[in-house]
Amino acid sequence: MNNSAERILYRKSALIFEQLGFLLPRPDTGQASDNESTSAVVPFKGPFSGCLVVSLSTEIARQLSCNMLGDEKVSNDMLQQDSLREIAHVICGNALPAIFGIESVFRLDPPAICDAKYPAEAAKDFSQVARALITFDTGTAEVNLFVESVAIRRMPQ
Amino acid sequence: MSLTVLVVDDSTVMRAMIIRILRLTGLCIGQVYEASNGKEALSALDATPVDLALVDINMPIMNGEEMIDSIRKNPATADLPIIVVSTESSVERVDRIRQKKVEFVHKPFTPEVLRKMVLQLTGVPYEQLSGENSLSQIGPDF
Repeated sequence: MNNSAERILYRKSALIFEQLGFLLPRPDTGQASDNESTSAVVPFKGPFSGCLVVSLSTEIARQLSCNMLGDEKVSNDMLQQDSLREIAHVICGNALPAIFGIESVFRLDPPAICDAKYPAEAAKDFSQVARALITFDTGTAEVNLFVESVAIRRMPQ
Repeated sequence: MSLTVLVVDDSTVMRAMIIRILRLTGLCIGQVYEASNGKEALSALDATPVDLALVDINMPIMNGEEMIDSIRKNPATADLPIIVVSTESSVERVDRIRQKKVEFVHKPFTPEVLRKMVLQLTGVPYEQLSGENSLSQIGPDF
Protein backbone atom coordinates (compact mmCIF):
# COMPACT_ATOMS: atom_id res chain seq x y z
CA MET A 1 0.00 0.00 0.00
CA ASN A 2 1.07 3.58 -0.60
CA ASN A 3 1.08 5.96 2.40
CA SER A 4 0.56 9.12 0.41
CA ALA A 5 -2.35 7.60 -1.53
CA GLU A 6 -3.90 6.34 1.70
CA ARG A 7 -3.74 9.79 3.29
CA ILE A 8 -5.35 11.39 0.26
CA LEU A 9 -8.00 8.68 0.01
CA TYR A 10 -8.88 9.08 3.69
CA ARG A 11 -9.00 12.88 3.51
CA LYS A 12 -11.16 12.98 0.39
CA SER A 13 -13.50 10.23 1.60
CA ALA A 14 -13.98 11.79 5.04
CA LEU A 15 -14.74 15.18 3.51
CA ILE A 16 -17.28 13.70 1.10
CA PHE A 17 -19.05 11.74 3.85
CA GLU A 18 -19.23 14.99 5.80
CA GLN A 19 -20.40 17.29 2.99
CA LEU A 20 -22.59 14.93 1.02
CA GLY A 21 -23.77 12.57 3.73
CA PHE A 22 -23.77 14.89 6.75
CA LEU A 23 -21.83 12.15 8.60
CA LEU A 24 -19.05 13.40 10.84
CA PRO A 25 -16.05 11.05 11.02
CA ARG A 26 -14.54 10.39 14.44
CA PRO A 27 -10.93 11.50 14.83
CA ASP A 28 -9.79 8.07 16.00
CA THR A 29 -9.30 5.18 13.62
CA GLY A 30 -11.38 2.18 14.55
CA GLN A 31 -11.77 -1.30 13.21
CA ALA A 32 -14.06 -2.32 10.39
CA SER A 33 -17.48 -3.30 11.69
CA ASP A 34 -17.89 -7.03 11.95
CA ASN A 35 -21.57 -6.92 11.13
CA GLU A 36 -23.04 -7.03 7.65
CA SER A 37 -21.99 -4.45 5.11
CA THR A 38 -23.12 -3.27 1.70
CA SER A 39 -20.56 -2.54 -1.02
CA ALA A 40 -20.48 -0.60 -4.26
CA VAL A 41 -17.79 -0.69 -6.94
CA VAL A 42 -16.83 2.04 -9.39
CA PRO A 43 -14.71 0.64 -12.24
CA PHE A 44 -12.62 3.22 -14.11
CA LYS A 45 -10.47 3.44 -17.23
CA GLY A 46 -7.90 5.96 -18.35
CA PRO A 47 -4.10 5.92 -18.35
CA PHE A 48 -4.68 2.65 -16.51
CA SER A 49 -7.72 0.86 -15.22
CA GLY A 50 -8.85 -0.11 -11.76
CA CYS A 51 -11.75 0.15 -9.39
CA LEU A 52 -12.77 1.76 -6.14
CA VAL A 53 -14.89 -0.18 -3.67
CA VAL A 54 -16.85 1.44 -0.84
CA SER A 55 -18.33 -0.75 1.92
CA LEU A 56 -20.69 0.62 4.54
CA SER A 57 -21.83 -1.05 7.73
CA THR A 58 -25.61 -1.48 7.95
CA GLU A 59 -26.38 1.48 10.19
CA ILE A 60 -24.13 3.85 8.24
CA ALA A 61 -25.82 2.81 4.98
CA ARG A 62 -29.20 3.67 6.53
CA GLN A 63 -28.01 6.96 8.02
CA LEU A 64 -26.34 8.04 4.80
CA SER A 65 -29.52 7.49 2.84
CA CYS A 66 -31.69 9.31 5.42
CA ASN A 67 -29.28 12.24 5.56
CA MET A 68 -29.00 12.58 1.80
CA LEU A 69 -32.77 12.42 1.42
CA GLY A 70 -33.30 14.73 4.38
CA ASP A 71 -35.91 12.36 5.78
CA GLU A 72 -35.55 9.86 8.62
CA LYS A 73 -38.53 7.76 7.56
CA VAL A 74 -38.31 7.06 3.87
CA SER A 75 -35.11 5.06 3.61
CA ASN A 76 -35.40 1.57 2.11
CA ASP A 77 -32.97 -0.90 0.56
CA MET A 78 -33.28 0.61 -2.90
CA LEU A 79 -32.58 4.16 -1.68
CA GLN A 80 -29.74 2.97 0.53
CA GLN A 81 -28.12 1.33 -2.47
CA ASP A 82 -28.68 4.48 -4.54
CA SER A 83 -26.97 6.59 -1.82
CA LEU A 84 -24.05 4.18 -1.62
CA ARG A 85 -23.57 4.15 -5.40
CA GLU A 86 -23.63 7.95 -5.52
CA ILE A 87 -21.16 8.48 -2.70
CA ALA A 88 -18.83 5.85 -4.16
CA HIS A 89 -18.95 7.65 -7.51
CA VAL A 90 -18.20 11.04 -5.94
CA ILE A 91 -15.33 9.64 -3.85
CA CYS A 92 -13.82 7.99 -6.93
CA GLY A 93 -14.22 11.15 -9.04
CA ASN A 94 -12.45 13.22 -6.39
CA ALA A 95 -9.80 10.76 -5.22
CA LEU A 96 -8.33 9.73 -8.59
CA PRO A 97 -7.17 13.20 -9.74
CA ALA A 98 -5.96 13.96 -6.20
CA ILE A 99 -3.83 10.80 -6.11
CA PHE A 100 -2.68 10.53 -9.72
CA GLY A 101 -2.73 14.21 -10.75
CA ILE A 102 -5.29 16.21 -12.75
CA GLU A 103 -3.48 15.46 -15.99
CA SER A 104 -4.55 11.81 -15.59
CA VAL A 105 -8.06 11.76 -17.01
CA PHE A 106 -10.21 8.80 -16.03
CA ARG A 107 -13.59 7.74 -17.33
CA LEU A 108 -15.72 6.35 -14.52
CA ASP A 109 -18.17 3.56 -15.27
CA PRO A 110 -21.57 3.71 -13.56
CA PRO A 111 -21.27 2.52 -9.95
CA ALA A 112 -22.79 -0.86 -9.11
CA ILE A 113 -23.72 -2.70 -5.94
CA CYS A 114 -21.39 -5.64 -5.46
CA ASP A 115 -20.91 -8.62 -3.23
CA ALA A 116 -19.18 -8.02 0.10
CA LYS A 117 -16.43 -10.33 -1.12
CA TYR A 118 -15.76 -8.13 -4.15
CA PRO A 119 -12.65 -6.41 -2.73
CA ALA A 120 -10.98 -9.81 -2.39
CA GLU A 121 -12.03 -10.65 -5.97
CA ALA A 122 -10.75 -7.30 -7.29
CA ALA A 123 -7.40 -7.94 -5.66
CA LYS A 124 -6.93 -10.90 -8.02
CA ASP A 125 -6.96 -8.65 -11.09
CA PHE A 126 -5.53 -5.45 -9.64
CA SER A 127 -3.07 -4.32 -6.98
CA GLN A 128 -4.53 -2.66 -3.93
CA VAL A 129 -2.86 0.71 -3.49
CA ALA A 130 -4.86 2.33 -0.73
CA ARG A 131 -7.40 1.60 1.96
CA ALA A 132 -9.21 4.16 4.10
CA LEU A 133 -11.27 3.18 7.12
CA ILE A 134 -13.55 5.94 8.33
CA THR A 135 -15.12 5.55 11.75
CA PHE A 136 -18.40 7.16 12.74
CA ASP A 137 -20.28 6.96 16.03
CA THR A 138 -22.55 4.20 14.74
CA GLY A 139 -20.42 2.26 12.27
CA THR A 140 -17.72 2.40 9.63
CA ALA A 141 -17.06 3.04 5.98
CA GLU A 142 -14.22 1.29 4.20
CA VAL A 143 -12.81 2.58 0.92
CA ASN A 144 -10.44 0.41 -1.13
CA LEU A 145 -8.63 1.50 -4.26
CA PHE A 146 -7.30 -1.04 -6.76
CA VAL A 147 -5.29 -0.29 -9.90
CA GLU A 148 -3.34 -2.13 -12.57
CA SER A 149 0.20 -2.86 -11.47
CA VAL A 150 1.53 -0.52 -14.16
CA ALA A 151 0.07 2.41 -12.20
CA ILE A 152 2.07 1.78 -9.06
CA ARG A 153 5.21 3.49 -10.34
CA ARG A 154 3.24 6.66 -11.18
CA MET A 155 2.20 7.15 -7.60
CA PRO A 156 3.67 9.65 -5.14
CA GLN A 157 5.43 8.00 -2.23
CA MET B 1 -39.59 36.65 -5.81
CA SER B 2 -38.88 32.91 -5.88
CA LEU B 3 -37.07 30.71 -8.36
CA THR B 4 -38.70 27.78 -10.14
CA VAL B 5 -36.08 25.08 -10.57
CA LEU B 6 -35.65 21.86 -12.56
CA VAL B 7 -33.28 19.25 -11.11
CA VAL B 8 -32.10 16.55 -13.54
CA ASP B 9 -30.21 13.51 -12.25
CA ASP B 10 -30.75 9.77 -12.71
CA SER B 11 -30.29 9.18 -8.98
CA THR B 12 -33.35 9.77 -6.77
CA VAL B 13 -31.08 10.31 -3.79
CA MET B 14 -28.84 12.79 -5.59
CA ARG B 15 -31.87 14.79 -6.75
CA ALA B 16 -33.08 14.95 -3.15
CA MET B 17 -29.60 15.94 -2.03
CA ILE B 18 -29.33 18.73 -4.60
CA ILE B 19 -32.77 20.04 -3.62
CA ARG B 20 -31.76 19.92 0.03
CA ILE B 21 -28.60 21.93 -0.61
CA LEU B 22 -30.55 24.32 -2.84
CA ARG B 23 -32.94 25.01 0.04
CA LEU B 24 -30.00 25.53 2.40
CA THR B 25 -28.69 28.38 0.22
CA GLY B 26 -31.09 30.79 1.93
CA LEU B 27 -32.48 31.78 -1.47
CA CYS B 28 -36.20 31.87 -2.07
CA ILE B 29 -36.89 28.64 -3.94
CA GLY B 30 -40.40 28.04 -5.27
CA GLN B 31 -41.56 24.98 -7.18
CA VAL B 32 -38.87 22.35 -7.80
CA TYR B 33 -39.43 19.89 -10.63
CA GLU B 34 -37.47 16.68 -11.07
CA ALA B 35 -36.41 14.61 -14.06
CA SER B 36 -34.29 11.48 -14.20
CA ASN B 37 -32.76 11.99 -17.65
CA GLY B 38 -32.43 14.56 -20.42
CA LYS B 39 -35.50 13.39 -22.33
CA GLU B 40 -37.74 13.71 -19.28
CA ALA B 41 -36.23 17.12 -18.59
CA LEU B 42 -37.04 18.39 -22.09
CA SER B 43 -40.66 17.21 -21.68
CA ALA B 44 -40.81 18.99 -18.33
CA LEU B 45 -39.49 22.20 -19.90
CA ASP B 46 -42.07 21.95 -22.68
CA ALA B 47 -44.81 21.79 -20.07
CA THR B 48 -43.50 24.36 -17.61
CA PRO B 49 -40.95 27.14 -17.91
CA VAL B 50 -38.38 27.30 -15.12
CA ASP B 51 -35.89 29.95 -13.96
CA LEU B 52 -32.94 27.61 -13.43
CA ALA B 53 -31.86 24.01 -14.18
CA LEU B 54 -29.38 21.91 -12.22
CA VAL B 55 -28.19 19.09 -14.45
CA ASP B 56 -26.10 15.94 -14.12
CA ILE B 57 -24.01 14.93 -17.13
CA ASN B 58 -23.88 11.14 -17.11
CA MET B 59 -27.44 9.87 -17.41
CA PRO B 60 -29.14 7.06 -19.35
CA ILE B 61 -31.47 7.64 -22.35
CA MET B 62 -30.31 11.23 -22.93
CA ASN B 63 -27.21 12.58 -21.21
CA GLY B 64 -26.72 16.09 -19.90
CA GLU B 65 -24.65 17.38 -22.82
CA GLU B 66 -27.25 16.29 -25.40
CA MET B 67 -29.97 17.81 -23.26
CA ILE B 68 -28.15 21.15 -22.95
CA ASP B 69 -27.62 21.23 -26.73
CA SER B 70 -31.38 20.76 -27.26
CA ILE B 71 -32.19 23.46 -24.73
CA ARG B 72 -29.82 25.93 -26.39
CA LYS B 73 -31.26 25.19 -29.86
CA ASN B 74 -34.83 25.92 -28.73
CA PRO B 75 -35.53 29.68 -28.80
CA ALA B 76 -37.93 29.31 -25.86
CA THR B 77 -35.22 27.88 -23.59
CA ALA B 78 -31.99 29.08 -25.26
CA ASP B 79 -31.13 31.47 -22.43
CA LEU B 80 -32.10 29.21 -19.53
CA PRO B 81 -29.51 29.46 -16.73
CA ILE B 82 -28.00 25.97 -16.28
CA ILE B 83 -25.68 24.66 -13.60
CA VAL B 84 -24.00 21.35 -14.36
CA VAL B 85 -23.52 19.25 -11.22
CA SER B 86 -20.95 16.53 -11.78
CA THR B 87 -17.90 14.65 -10.57
CA GLU B 88 -16.25 15.20 -13.95
CA SER B 89 -12.54 15.90 -13.50
CA SER B 90 -11.42 16.15 -17.12
CA VAL B 91 -10.45 19.81 -17.69
CA GLU B 92 -11.03 19.32 -21.41
CA ARG B 93 -14.57 18.03 -20.93
CA VAL B 94 -15.42 20.68 -18.33
CA ASP B 95 -14.20 23.41 -20.74
CA ARG B 96 -16.29 21.90 -23.55
CA ILE B 97 -19.36 21.89 -21.32
CA ARG B 98 -18.71 25.48 -20.19
CA GLN B 99 -18.77 26.59 -23.82
CA LYS B 100 -22.48 25.73 -23.83
CA LYS B 101 -23.06 28.82 -21.62
CA VAL B 102 -23.41 26.84 -18.40
CA GLU B 103 -21.74 26.98 -15.02
CA PHE B 104 -20.12 23.93 -13.50
CA VAL B 105 -20.19 22.80 -9.88
CA HIS B 106 -18.15 19.85 -8.71
CA LYS B 107 -19.66 17.31 -6.29
CA PRO B 108 -19.55 17.60 -3.33
CA PHE B 109 -20.49 21.26 -3.03
CA THR B 110 -21.71 23.54 -0.27
CA PRO B 111 -24.83 25.74 -0.12
CA GLU B 112 -22.54 28.80 -0.20
CA VAL B 113 -20.94 27.77 -3.49
CA LEU B 114 -24.33 27.02 -5.02
CA ARG B 115 -25.83 30.33 -3.80
CA LYS B 116 -23.00 32.32 -5.36
CA MET B 117 -23.42 30.50 -8.64
CA VAL B 118 -27.22 30.85 -8.75
CA LEU B 119 -26.99 34.61 -8.11
CA GLN B 120 -24.27 34.99 -10.72
CA LEU B 121 -26.15 33.01 -13.37
CA THR B 122 -29.64 34.39 -12.84
CA GLY B 123 -28.42 37.95 -12.39
CA VAL B 124 -31.06 38.49 -9.71
CA PRO B 125 -29.80 40.57 -6.76
CA TYR B 126 -29.48 38.68 -3.47
CA GLU B 127 -31.96 41.05 -1.75
CA GLN B 128 -34.68 39.92 -4.16
CA LEU B 129 -34.01 36.21 -3.71
CA SER B 130 -33.29 35.93 0.00
CA GLY B 131 -36.01 35.00 2.45
CA GLU B 132 -38.15 32.22 3.81
CA ASN B 133 -38.30 29.26 1.47
CA SER B 134 -38.52 26.16 3.58
CA LEU B 135 -42.28 25.84 3.18
CA SER B 136 -42.16 25.67 -0.60
CA GLN B 137 -43.50 22.46 -2.03
CA ILE B 138 -41.38 20.09 -4.05
CA GLY B 139 -42.89 19.41 -7.42
CA PRO B 140 -43.86 16.06 -8.87
CA ASP B 141 -41.59 13.67 -10.70
CA PHE B 142 -41.85 13.84 -14.46
